[in-house]
Amino acid sequence: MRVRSWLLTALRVLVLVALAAGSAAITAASLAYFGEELAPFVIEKLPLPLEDVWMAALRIHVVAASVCLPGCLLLSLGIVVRRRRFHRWLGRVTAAAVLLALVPSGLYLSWFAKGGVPSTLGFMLSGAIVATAMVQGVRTARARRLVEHRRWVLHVLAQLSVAVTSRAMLFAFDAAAVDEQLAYLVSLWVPVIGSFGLVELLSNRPRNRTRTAPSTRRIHEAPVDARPAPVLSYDLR
Amino acid sequence: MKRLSMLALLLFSRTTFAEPTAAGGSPPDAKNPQAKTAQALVSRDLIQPLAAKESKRSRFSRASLPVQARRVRILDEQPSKDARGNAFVRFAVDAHHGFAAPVDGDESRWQLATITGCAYLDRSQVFVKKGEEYRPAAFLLGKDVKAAAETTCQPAQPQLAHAN
Repeated sequence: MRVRSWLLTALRVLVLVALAAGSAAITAASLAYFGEELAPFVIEKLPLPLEDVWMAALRIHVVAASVCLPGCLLLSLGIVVRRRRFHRWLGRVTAAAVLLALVPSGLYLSWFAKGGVPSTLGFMLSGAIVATAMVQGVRTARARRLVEHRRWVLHVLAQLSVAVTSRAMLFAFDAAAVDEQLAYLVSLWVPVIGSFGLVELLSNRPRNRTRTAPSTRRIHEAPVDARPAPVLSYDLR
Repeated sequence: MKRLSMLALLLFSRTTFAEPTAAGGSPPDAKNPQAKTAQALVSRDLIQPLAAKESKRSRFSRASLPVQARRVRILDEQPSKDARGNAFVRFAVDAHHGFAAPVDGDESRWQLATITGCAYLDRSQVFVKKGEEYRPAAFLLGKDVKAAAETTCQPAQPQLAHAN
């Protein structure tokens, strides 16, 4: 049992480190969108209707993404979860960036996605999950329903991680010389659906710790309804 | 029995396991001197700088990943003239993805005409097609260049005889 717990912890750390590295790599690659030269991704898209609007949406999207994914990763760390004040503020900043910048700009960009309608629908579905989950995440945090809050914000993190996993898949498909359009669609839909399914699976998993001995340290895993309010003064207002 | 005979016919048909042929309407390779010059021009002004640029590029992007190899095909045996009287030849660039190096004669791994355009040999200019427009090859290298004149890479329309 202890070995299993150790393996799960190691796996969790590995996933977080991989996502952080992926986020950093995407941010570094996105600097090309702010230079004088046209980036390859932009060259592929041109010509576009309302080119300036698309370019502005792309820049807003990459700046927001460079805040949101690292923000979500930080928020999931135990050390940040325990610092409630910092957790609340970081949560507010991340939620605002997701709902006001990342999702709206992403929805606009999705209209011009490579791969046509199936690709557009994939990005829109991912954006809808992120927006819904973030709104619900904020609502449940304000209502101190922290088990539900954990589930919703995990959905946000999972969908934001699609940016990393889909690029890794694209790299693998390219190495195997798979058709570009097919690779693009599979690398979008599989992580979107897979991430959603994985979060639901993890959220519905029976948790021995919460049933037997509720932890006072990991507030995200505590059975909130059974706890008196003063112990968890976890308020976003 | 009828189904079996159909299956046998399909299996032993000459076309079922036929070797993949070159792309439909495959153009002649550079055999004449003009085509060879055009191929060299496109390679010098487009393919080599593009490969150099892509070697420095991040692979962690939603843009198409850098290709493993490219080849230039000259589509015209003889140059055409545009409305301004300048001679040009059309070309297509095929791309090869994956880690495996291209094998001679294996056409299946090549993506045909990932870039198309035309080359003006007299002026040493290369244009690439983007949407319905042609732009200087520098566009694919990241330069924000304007579209070329509408006559660029367009064969001049033959003069119609006046009906009256």
